[in-house]
Amino acid sequence: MSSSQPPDLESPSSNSSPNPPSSPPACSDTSSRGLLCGTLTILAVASVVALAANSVRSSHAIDLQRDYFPKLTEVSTPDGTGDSTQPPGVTGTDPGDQVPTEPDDGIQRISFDDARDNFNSAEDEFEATGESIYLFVDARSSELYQESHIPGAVWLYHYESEELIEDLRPELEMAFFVIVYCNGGDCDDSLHLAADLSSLYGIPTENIYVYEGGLNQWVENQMPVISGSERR
Amino acid sequence: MDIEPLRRLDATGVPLLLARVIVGFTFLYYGAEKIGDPVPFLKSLRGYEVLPLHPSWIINSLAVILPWIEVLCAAAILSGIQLRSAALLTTAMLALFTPMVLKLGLSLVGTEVGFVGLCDVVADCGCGSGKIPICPKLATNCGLLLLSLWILLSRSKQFRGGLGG
Repeated sequence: MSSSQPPDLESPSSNSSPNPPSSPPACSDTSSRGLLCGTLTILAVASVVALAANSVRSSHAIDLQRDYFPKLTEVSTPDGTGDSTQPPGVTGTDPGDQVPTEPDDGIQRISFDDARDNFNSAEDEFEATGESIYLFVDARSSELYQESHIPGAVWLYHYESEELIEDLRPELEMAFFVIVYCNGGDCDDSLHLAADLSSLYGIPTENIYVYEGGLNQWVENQMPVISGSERR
Repeated sequence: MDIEPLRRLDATGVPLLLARVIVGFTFLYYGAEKIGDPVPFLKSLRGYEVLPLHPSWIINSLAVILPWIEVLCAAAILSGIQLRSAALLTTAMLALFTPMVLKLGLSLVGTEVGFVGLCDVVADCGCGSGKIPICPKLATNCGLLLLSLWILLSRSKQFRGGLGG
């Protein structure tokens, strides 16, 4: 077999030649055993480097223990209907009366019309009093938020919410209508953030709404957006 | 089947060199993109619906470690250190993920107005390049798979070490 082999090809048995080297290099991947050894070495080194790098990085780190895709829980109400309780003292447009567009998975959803009405109410309130019971929450990344967001929306990136939540907690707790959005379409970060706001961060479930149309639908309807890190 | 011409071609080392350059730099690029921001990759892993979401550390750890495996494999393939081991890993990753990309593409057919057939589908497969047409991605993956296999099975003595020598 070796007699017909081109000179620049290794023989399969070249490692077990009649004159074996005194000590073959560790994990030499010319043999099956060496191949396995080399593969395991790469996997081990990659794992150690990856976990070390993840633990020291200041942004975009992944919390290995955190459930980033929480299961949505059923809304339990005293009458068992699943309807949300209207906050006291609220007048005007009431997202609690709005018909859900999705199955009842515990997350209250609002349509574009509702989001627009809430936005207009929020702007009017803010102009009159400097504060509002409506709070839009942008669940997207910092880059996307700075590119464009709904005026007045706070930035609370779902994947970094643990670091961001404390600064926003007073506002979230004071708002009667916390309206979470992301891009819309196949983006479901707003749903996961809404679930976390309720189950992880203690924001009352009945105050949380998801605008599933998201920023894409908002822009399609020629609603205002602003860029930069400023809210308004 | 006469494989002698293939063996003679392999003996020149040129196919091995080309395969190492293409596979090495491709994996380096994709791995570095994912390391830069692992969240889109984590979301893509979830989107494939083949990994358990609970306990969370399984999918989270994979999203952290897999990009580094890609980068280390790229470094090994380009440097020639543990060349065949790295090629075995890239072959395994491509053989695992390519059917998953196909499954993702097929699952999206008909879900949007423009997605009439598989080749109309544009999606983020978590490969490090954002939303891309699925068909060219599948073709690219199949090409990379063949090149990885070539690196793994090549017996050429040429161009086995560092690319400079």
